[in-house]
Amino acid sequence: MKKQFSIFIFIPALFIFFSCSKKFLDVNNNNPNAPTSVNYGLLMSNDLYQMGNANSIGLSQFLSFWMGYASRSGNYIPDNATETYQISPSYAFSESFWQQLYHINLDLKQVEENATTAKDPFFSGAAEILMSYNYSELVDVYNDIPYSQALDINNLKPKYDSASTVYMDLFNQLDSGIALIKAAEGSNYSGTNAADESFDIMFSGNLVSWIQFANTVKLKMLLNLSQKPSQQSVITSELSKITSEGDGFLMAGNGAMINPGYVNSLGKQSPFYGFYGATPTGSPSGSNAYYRANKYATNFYTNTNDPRLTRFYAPTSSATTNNTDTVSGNFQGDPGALSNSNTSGFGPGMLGTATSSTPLLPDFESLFFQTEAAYRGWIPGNEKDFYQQAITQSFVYEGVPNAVVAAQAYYSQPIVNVGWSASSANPLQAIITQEWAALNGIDVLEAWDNYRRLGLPADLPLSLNPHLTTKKIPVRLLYPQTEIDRNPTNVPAAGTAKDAQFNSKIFWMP
Amino acid sequence: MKQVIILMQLMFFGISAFAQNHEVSGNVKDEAGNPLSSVSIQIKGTSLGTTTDANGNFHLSVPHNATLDVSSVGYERKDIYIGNESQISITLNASTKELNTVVVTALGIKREARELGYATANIDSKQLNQAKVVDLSTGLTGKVSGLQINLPNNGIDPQTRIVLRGNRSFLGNNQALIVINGIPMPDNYNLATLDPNDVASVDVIKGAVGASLYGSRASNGVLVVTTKTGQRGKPVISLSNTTTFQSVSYLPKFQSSFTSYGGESIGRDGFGNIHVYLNPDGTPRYVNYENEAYGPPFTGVGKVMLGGPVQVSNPDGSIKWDSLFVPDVPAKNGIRNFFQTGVTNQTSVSFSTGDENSTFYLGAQHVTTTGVVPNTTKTRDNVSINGTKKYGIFSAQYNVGYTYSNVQDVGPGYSQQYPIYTQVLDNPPILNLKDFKDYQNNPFATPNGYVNAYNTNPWQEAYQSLDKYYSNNLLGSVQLSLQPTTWLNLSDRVGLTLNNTVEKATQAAITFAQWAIDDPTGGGAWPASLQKFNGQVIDYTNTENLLNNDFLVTLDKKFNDFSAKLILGGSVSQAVFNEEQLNSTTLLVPGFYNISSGSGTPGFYQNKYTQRQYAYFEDLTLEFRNYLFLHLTNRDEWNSVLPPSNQHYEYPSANLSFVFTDAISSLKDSKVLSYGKIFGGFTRVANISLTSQGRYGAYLINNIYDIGPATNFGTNAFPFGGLGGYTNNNTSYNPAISPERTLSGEAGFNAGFFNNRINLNADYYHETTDHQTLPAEISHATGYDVKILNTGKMLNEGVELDLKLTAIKTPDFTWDVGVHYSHNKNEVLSILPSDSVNSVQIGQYLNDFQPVLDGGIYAQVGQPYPVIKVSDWARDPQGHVIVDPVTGFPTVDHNLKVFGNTNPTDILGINTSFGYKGLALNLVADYRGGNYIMNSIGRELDFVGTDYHSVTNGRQRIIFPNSVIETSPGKFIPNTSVATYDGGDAFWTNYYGTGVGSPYVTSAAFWKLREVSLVYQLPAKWVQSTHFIRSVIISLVGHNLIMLRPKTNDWTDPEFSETNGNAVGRTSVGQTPPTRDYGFNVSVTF
Repeated sequence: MKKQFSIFIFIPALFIFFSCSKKFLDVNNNNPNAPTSVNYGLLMSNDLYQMGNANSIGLSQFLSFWMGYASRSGNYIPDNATETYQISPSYAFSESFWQQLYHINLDLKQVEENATTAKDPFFSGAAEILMSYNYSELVDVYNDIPYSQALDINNLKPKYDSASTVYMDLFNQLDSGIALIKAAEGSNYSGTNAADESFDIMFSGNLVSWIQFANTVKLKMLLNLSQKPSQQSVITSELSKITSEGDGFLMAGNGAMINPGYVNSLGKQSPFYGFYGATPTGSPSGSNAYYRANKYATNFYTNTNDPRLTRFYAPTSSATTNNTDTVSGNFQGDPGALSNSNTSGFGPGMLGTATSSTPLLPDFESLFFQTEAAYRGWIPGNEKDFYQQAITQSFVYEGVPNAVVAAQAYYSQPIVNVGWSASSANPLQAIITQEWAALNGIDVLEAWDNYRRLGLPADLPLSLNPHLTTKKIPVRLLYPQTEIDRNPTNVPAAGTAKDAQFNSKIFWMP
Repeated sequence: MKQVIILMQLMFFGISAFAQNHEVSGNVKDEAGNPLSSVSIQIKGTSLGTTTDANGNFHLSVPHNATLDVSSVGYERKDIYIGNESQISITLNASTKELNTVVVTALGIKREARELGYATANIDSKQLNQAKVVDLSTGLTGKVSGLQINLPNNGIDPQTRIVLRGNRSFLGNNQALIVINGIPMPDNYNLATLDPNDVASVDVIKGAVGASLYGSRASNGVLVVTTKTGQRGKPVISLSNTTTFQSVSYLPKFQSSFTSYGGESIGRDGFGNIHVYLNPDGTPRYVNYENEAYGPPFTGVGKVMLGGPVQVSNPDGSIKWDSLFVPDVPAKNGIRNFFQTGVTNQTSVSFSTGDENSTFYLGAQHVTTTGVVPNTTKTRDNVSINGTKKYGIFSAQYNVGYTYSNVQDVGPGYSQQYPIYTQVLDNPPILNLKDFKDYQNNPFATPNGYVNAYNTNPWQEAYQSLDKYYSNNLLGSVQLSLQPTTWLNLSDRVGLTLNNTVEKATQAAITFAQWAIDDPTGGGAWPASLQKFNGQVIDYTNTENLLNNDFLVTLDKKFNDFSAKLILGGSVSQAVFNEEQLNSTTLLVPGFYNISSGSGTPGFYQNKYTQRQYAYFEDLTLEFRNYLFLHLTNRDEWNSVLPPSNQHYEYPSANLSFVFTDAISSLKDSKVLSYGKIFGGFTRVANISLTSQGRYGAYLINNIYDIGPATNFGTNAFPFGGLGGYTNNNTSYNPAISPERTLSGEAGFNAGFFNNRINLNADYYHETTDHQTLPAEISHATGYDVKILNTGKMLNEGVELDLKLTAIKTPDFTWDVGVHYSHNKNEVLSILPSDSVNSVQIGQYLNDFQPVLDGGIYAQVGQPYPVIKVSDWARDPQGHVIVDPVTGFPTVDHNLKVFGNTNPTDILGINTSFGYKGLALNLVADYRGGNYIMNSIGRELDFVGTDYHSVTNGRQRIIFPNSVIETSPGKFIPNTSVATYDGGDAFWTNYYGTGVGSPYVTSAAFWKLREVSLVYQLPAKWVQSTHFIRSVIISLVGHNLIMLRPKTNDWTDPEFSETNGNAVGRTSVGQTPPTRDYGFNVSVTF
């Protein structure tokens, strides 16, 4: 009996041993599935990658329809919200854009903070510049946004700041970013905590390029302010800061292009190509069949003898079709739209390849900004030269054979909105029209900005969807439903009201 | 026979005259003459006593004229007067009164029903298995009040959802804890792993009051499963075979008036021919390759082309074009013909034996099932071994159960990765699926030429997209106990569960012919859109390992009219879960499904979770005269997944039971009232509710970073070569998180009437759960999507009634009725305090294979949990639908509205058995109601135009009923003139099928005839003449033979759900249609 007793004393003893040992419970201290801290360089590489995604795909999924670049073929039932402009706060593209940009900025804020701790001014400065870029896009889409109280997990309901205040502060942030980048010049920041410049998948640590990028972002914002006389003093003072800074803007051959080392493998393709083009094994991607050429765009390129036509759009897919147009499109919302096999998908220039860099702000876009700035007398230089250089760089970008010669032949045509002198009656119209023609598949938000600011291109067609009731292209997105649900006391009513997409202007709109 | 037989033998005379005490030897047996061990023998009025040994013997020194109090759990208690006898024999009768039923309670502690201050129910093997179910949980349905078992799906291998007394937690696990032979199973344990034939009984502990000793996992109630042990006596061998057939019972109501058209107006085919799909008056023409059915009415005369032209080879090798022509009539059973009759065959064998000191039980079962969806199969093999051994004061018990199950299910289709039911449903009425079965040779059924341009052929999907998985489940436990004296028992139980699942999902590569890629219909069929489809593979494996050790010391002492039982114990457990997945969508070698043959980097993930826990508990039962019981428990628990400061919490409980019929002498021999008990108790329990965020809720204290974006199919973009990229996870975790707290109380009564012919149990419970662990959705402007908070409060209260009635009882004929009713009221009291956020989405509608739908399943303040919130038509203040003044179409209000709770408020189960000699008829029916369901199938069918509703107006333009037009803001006039712009596809596809959710919300009420069994036991004299057969039983069984639904729901079974998680309330094309089963069984015992 005594022996048996001892077994039973042993078990509780074992038990007490486990319980008393604090270590017994120490099994959840280290998460084996995901890291709880990472070097800020790893955040920066992903932020740039994500910005490439957001910029090239994000808004293009509906703006390429609105801006006359893409259309739906007759094989698909219409997406009513997009085709009738009756977008709601739950419009999926709005939700994803809002969420994505704030999330990128959260990561960037940590990059800035951690790089500051690590005394790494380059990454602090780059993060500030990129955050400013993202905030400016949020303003351009939503007007007032959470800014001063944003990105603070202890403030679950950040207040909204007025759009013009945000814009003003972004100029300061860009100045601060430039100053930090300059501080990085010659400084040794390769401490143990510092990040490697290989995480900079946009400019590979080239400081001057970053400063030029910051100045170009400023110029982009200043041009948005151009139609507001009340902003004139801001424009003047910011321009003088750019001048005194001295590094200028992104020039030909030096666009803000992102490439982490895309490869033709699942999930690692150049995002625009992967989304609108083809899978790694060459099947058309899901969106390839849905996004077809818009007849407004194909007409424009055809009528202006633009060799970019077949770079932007592919030949119709059916080999046996008797459709005599090699490139063919529909007007958006046309109830009699041609079928997929009779329309063009996106072409090889626009799609690029699975390894092509993603444009954040390509050189020709910067050159178009400078064209308009020079035309307005904001910066020195000949607007005609900028104009032709911008067109040339677009030809180069789209992979037109003998691009320089072809571009010269193109812009030498005596066609209004093509040739500079042929457009002398309205040079601004020519600049914006050509900018529209070049931004196809590149930066549809900028094309929308120009349209909302200047009403150009003036003949941009409305959707032909028979249910279209308000015959106007929207001027903003409504605040997302998630924001209405989760931050209800702060979200401005002006951005959620019925028909706000037609009536509620961005502060810089005339 | 309740008389006590006392055999007396006189001792040698004289001894008793001189002694104060004398020695008594005795033996205790049951009615069958088997010795009873561990029987408590207590000298009344003293604390002296003993217990019987394994042979039922005892020795005790007793004073003259003493009375022995003889008691054993499960037997009627007896007082035995001892004069001067030295040798006695005692027979104990098994309890027949409800109150003396033995209930296995928390931690395997056996108690009599009379002691319990909380509600329980017991289902024995016979009730469980009367309809020969394959899945134990379906055998529980309708038999216990307060227990809700949902079969979310009718596929080959569904997982049930088991909930007791409604939901407590917004996002945590609300399913009952399952305990098998004292060993707690992991969350989401699938009861279908067990062979129901091996189960001796299931005890249901309905609420936290009874379950609090189990700690954090028991706030949802417990199902205590006890498997069979061997019986003493001659070995018994049982053989049983059941064959059942399963067929589709209901399909949605389809229209059969209009043929194919999908909104085309003009198109050109691959031959350059221009097709005008509209007549000059704008009415549609027939479109031969469509999946939508918005075309003209069937003419009923002649034949029309179905599908596009296909290229076929002539015998001489030359190529020609061929076309298929079919009569212009709706196909008969065109959809239903896809489904087959499923067959389930169960063969079970068991062996049971035992002697005085040991028992042995062996059970084995082999089940094969073929599903109603072609090419779906499941097999299950079980072996279960149980043994007990007694040696003096020492006893041991072991259980080993092993289950192997192997499933082959159908995966998604190649076109848009839609589930099989979509591919079956999205076919126009002209198409008869039976004609396209030969997807390999029939040129109109192959992926190149399938007549429906926008669907994949479901036959092709059934055979070429496979999801195969097998699992091994091992459950072992050993219990050792020691009873050194009458008042002390020590026992230790070690349990181990080991589960392992290996899954391989494959999709065959398709190489389309060039002629098909060239799109001969011009419709943009899948060959043209995809051009080719690579083979795909997903390999997934997981292993879960749970170790559990409970140690209990039981002290049991009687003092005069009182007795006290104190249980002290401790528990240690560890759970480890590992999972890995690899996948590739780019397999290069057709037919070879190994990740190594994929191009590029495969998608992958790997996760490991660990949880450790220990606890001490104390459990005290004070008894007064066997009619008043006070039961106090407490548990102190420490759990590793919580932050160190919050790792410890307590579970106190108290309950009281009073058998007033035993206490009040005037009631004792009442002819009307056989017994009566009132009870009540309360407890405070905690619930670690982070499980919605990760297994066991582990690693959810600190924020984490994810590898740069998951682009698709689990493939992350980063790393690119040596370049890594990380991003903040969208959830902000809470380093101060603590468990949810449930305050629970219950009270009720049990009563028997007319000699126990009528038994009534009734109880009321009230629970509030606050401090909920809520992944609160927060403004994206914070950079995050979700923050984990302790906030929110939910109320649950309800009543449960169980009535058992023996209506007729004659030697030849019996009729028993059981009625089990429960009503649950549930309300979300708060979500975020001092905040206007009053709803939280707990389940999102899956938009990947549906027309996009705003909304989902929510917890909303002031509403029951959970509710459906979807978009509705825009309405004026009087509720009239506002139509567009130009198009006449109703406008959609995207602000989500509540359309009812999804959990039934009322559940009624009715069981009845008729017995006539060897013949028995058993029926189980149940009703659920008071809840609503979102029928996404209706949206899908309106999208494609096959729903019966879409022809109610003959596809004519109509003035939308009860509609108004807004003339100026806030001013509405009745719409009497503006008809809808269209009554066909533009209206149904674009407005119903994609715009609005509310028309598809219907009552989820139903009546089901769950089980029918007609059992015939061959007369004993026939079988016993064989000398080796003990009994033969033949039965006919049926499941779900009849379902009654409200007329508004003619889509599917409202019990189905997209998930077996909390967000119940939506049926979809992710399920397959409801089925009914019928079959027969032969059981032979040797």
